Amino acid sequence: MDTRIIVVTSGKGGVGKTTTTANLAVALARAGKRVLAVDADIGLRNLDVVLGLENRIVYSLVDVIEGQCRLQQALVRDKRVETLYLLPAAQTRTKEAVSSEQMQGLCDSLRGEFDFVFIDSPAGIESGFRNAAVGADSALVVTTPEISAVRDADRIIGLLESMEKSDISLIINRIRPEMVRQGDMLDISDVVEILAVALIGIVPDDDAVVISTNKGEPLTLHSSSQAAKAFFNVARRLMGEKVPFEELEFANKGGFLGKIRKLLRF
Amino acid sequence: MSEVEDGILLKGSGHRIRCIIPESLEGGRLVEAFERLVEEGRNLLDGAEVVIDLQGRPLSIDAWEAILKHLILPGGMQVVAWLSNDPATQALLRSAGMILENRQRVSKPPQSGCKALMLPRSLRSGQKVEADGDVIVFGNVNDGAEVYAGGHICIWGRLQGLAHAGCTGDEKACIAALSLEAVQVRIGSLYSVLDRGGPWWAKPAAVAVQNGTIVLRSMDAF
Repeated sequence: MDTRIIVVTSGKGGVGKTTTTANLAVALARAGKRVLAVDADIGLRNLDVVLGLENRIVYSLVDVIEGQCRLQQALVRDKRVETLYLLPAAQTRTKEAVSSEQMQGLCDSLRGEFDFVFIDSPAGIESGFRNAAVGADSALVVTTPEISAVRDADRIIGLLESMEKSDISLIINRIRPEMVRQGDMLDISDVVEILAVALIGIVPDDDAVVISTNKGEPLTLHSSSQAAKAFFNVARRLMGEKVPFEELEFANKGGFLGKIRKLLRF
Repeated sequence: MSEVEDGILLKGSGHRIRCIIPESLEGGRLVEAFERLVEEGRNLLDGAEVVIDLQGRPLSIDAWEAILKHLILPGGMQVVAWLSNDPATQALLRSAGMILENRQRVSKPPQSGCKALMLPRSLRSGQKVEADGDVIVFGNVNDGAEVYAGGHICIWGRLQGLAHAGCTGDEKACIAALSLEAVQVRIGSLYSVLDRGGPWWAKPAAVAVQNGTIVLRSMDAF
């Protein structure tokens, strides 16, 4: 089994790394792939909650690395999608609990066991990010269409390039087409032009994400929301399918105000 | 070109890079700084002609071994010369058959005849280029990137980051960009804050000093 190890990173916090990791992991597992989601945010774990698996954690990534347990013992299998596993982070330790060499070793040991391994990186550019990225074959950089997030994504891409990670794709999260049209938000083409890496997904801002995060049920489990569709499209692209980018036509969903705006063309 | 990593400075000088190793770095910290520099500056150092500047450090065998083992070999660079202020180190390097550089030649202030540094790529946020002479960037200078030149700066792309022309005090230097989108530019000891959304915003423009003030000229006509 060829294993593709993908680090999900952003530089800036709060742009949707964990949500992206959870939704892509579920989407690919539902497509029949064996998927492992690794929470590399040691000390600030979140992925378990977003996936709704927090009550079944016994061991963590740090326990595996320190030899306190075997990898198989630490993996939490998702009962809803049977080919999905979580390797949780330790909440009571810090980023310094693991080294780059240990993370590289862990990634090597995962090869052949899964089709896809997603590593949810912590925010920042320090050792936590480096440890998350060191063993990855490719990177998904998540950004929102805000100048600060784009600048941090640019910094992260530079660092990934210096780590010789050349397979870098971009997900633009929380896009609000109405705001883009009114010039209040960076356009997709602006972001892609600045970051100069391949675009793999555009995810609209969607209230359903907040609800699903609180419930511990990723959107791609059963939702048909706009964001879920976008994550399914990214998953298909990761499987090598050519999926055209759909224009997010929120103008038609803008209700009365949207129609007035369209009439008045502002 | 320069990236400061734990005190080690890379400085562009014509087509070569000067790698300045501060005397304060010793032992494990020195090795750590080399490893980080090699990791982060791989694209910059690989195949580059490098002058290693030891400053006033009396070169110990351990430090020499660390330079060789953790900087020169893994960095993929081509060391063309060594620089040292310490007579004993100079003698040691000479006896080992190393080429010693004359410091005067390297640290000479910018001159009009100084060779331009050509950078055939974009600079991402957090990346920094520094040169004694002119700098020509064939790409964008993104927000958060920095360019420091002793001479002029020409950006064949978008300037969103910081450009400082004449950074050693030359106020005759100028900055030109195909698309000027920077909120601040610096020439010599002067700086100017630019408003987003001005008529020249995101258009070809040049900035220079006239009568002690930084002035902007649109290059639409070109």
